[in-house]
Amino acid sequence: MKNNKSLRVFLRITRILLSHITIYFAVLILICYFIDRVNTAMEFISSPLSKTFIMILAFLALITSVLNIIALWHNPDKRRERKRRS
Amino acid sequence: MTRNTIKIITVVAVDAVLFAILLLTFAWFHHAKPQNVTDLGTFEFPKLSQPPAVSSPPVNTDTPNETPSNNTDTTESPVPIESEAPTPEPTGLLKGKFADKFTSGEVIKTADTYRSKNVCIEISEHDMKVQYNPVHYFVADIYIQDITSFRCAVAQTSNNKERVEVMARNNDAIVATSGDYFLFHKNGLAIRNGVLLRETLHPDQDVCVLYQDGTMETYLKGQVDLQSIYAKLPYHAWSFGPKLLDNGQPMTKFNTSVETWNPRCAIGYYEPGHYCLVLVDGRQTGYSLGLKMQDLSKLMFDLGCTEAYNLDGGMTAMMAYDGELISKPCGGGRQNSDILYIAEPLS
Repeated sequence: MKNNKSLRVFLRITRILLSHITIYFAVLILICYFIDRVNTAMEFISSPLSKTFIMILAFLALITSVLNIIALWHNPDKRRERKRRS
Repeated sequence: MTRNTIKIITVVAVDAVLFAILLLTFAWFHHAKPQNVTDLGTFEFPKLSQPPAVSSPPVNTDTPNETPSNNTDTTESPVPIESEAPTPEPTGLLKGKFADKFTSGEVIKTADTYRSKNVCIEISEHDMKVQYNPVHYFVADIYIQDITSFRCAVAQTSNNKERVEVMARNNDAIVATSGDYFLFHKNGLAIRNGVLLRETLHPDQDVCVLYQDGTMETYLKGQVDLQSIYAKLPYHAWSFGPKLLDNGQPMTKFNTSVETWNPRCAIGYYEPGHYCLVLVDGRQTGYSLGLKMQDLSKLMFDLGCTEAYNLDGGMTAMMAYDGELISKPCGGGRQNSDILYIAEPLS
């Protein structure tokens, strides 16, 4: 029971941290996208580094989304609601 | 202020700091960190000490094996290209034309001209109006007898950046302008003083090549054939652009996204041995607005150039004469990674 609670806390903190990091990367890619339109020669979107950052953003978005879905699935209020309906 | 509000402000502040760190890290690795460029091979260098056998240029298209290969393996040591091709006459780029521009040996230097046996530079300042705004620009009219008078240099500091006038002084340049900032770009053909430094083409940039026979050619992106360029023995190749003239005529569409009014730096070509460097000040209301790319193209056409190519502009665009900055860059200018300069030929 205690282990279960620790795991839930760990997942909650991870989910919060990953959400923030995803925001950082998303804003960065958006900035790159708009700067790239001003000066394409600088390769803000097409450089290997930018592509790596886009890939990191994709992974972060994926993990954050999965964690959010799991969290929502285990949401006590929803669980109670499901039990009540069944 | 409630406890919740303080918590939100703290989270936002921490987010802002962490994002700034991420942004700076990205900027450093993306364009602030100098790129490693390695000597990939040397093209045949003009041999000044040898008397000319014939007056033809040293183009040797029959020996494709003597040109650097497309191999980007940087561990390979540079191999000087040996060729039996005849070397150009040391004072032969202009083939006797413009003889009145040169002296018999003495150096005559004034505030805006430099004349010697091998080099003649005439610097002029001009004003024009663009949409009721003043534009101030400098033209360095250049006559050289030897291609080695037209050289490039890179910054010798630890961060690979130096001001144009400092690089000009360090290299005994008579006149110098900012280059194409190639050390901070990952792609783009780079040949400097006959040495191939990078041969990865930039997908969005036109290329300008100055050959050892004094001719200059500009190539649109996607139309660059490295092997044919190597076969003609390039002395310099710049990657920035765009190309400004099409068969000697001004252009209206360019391979660039920076077409609006800006400080500009451009190189123009008339004929072998006769070039010009144009520096347009800008972003300074009341003094000089700068030029659109289309205006710059028209200006190079009006100057009589047959080929013209835009180099790095903005705050980078600077021109120095006799070791002193003569242009007035916006914001005081900034450090650059490389320069184009004219000096007495290499002995």
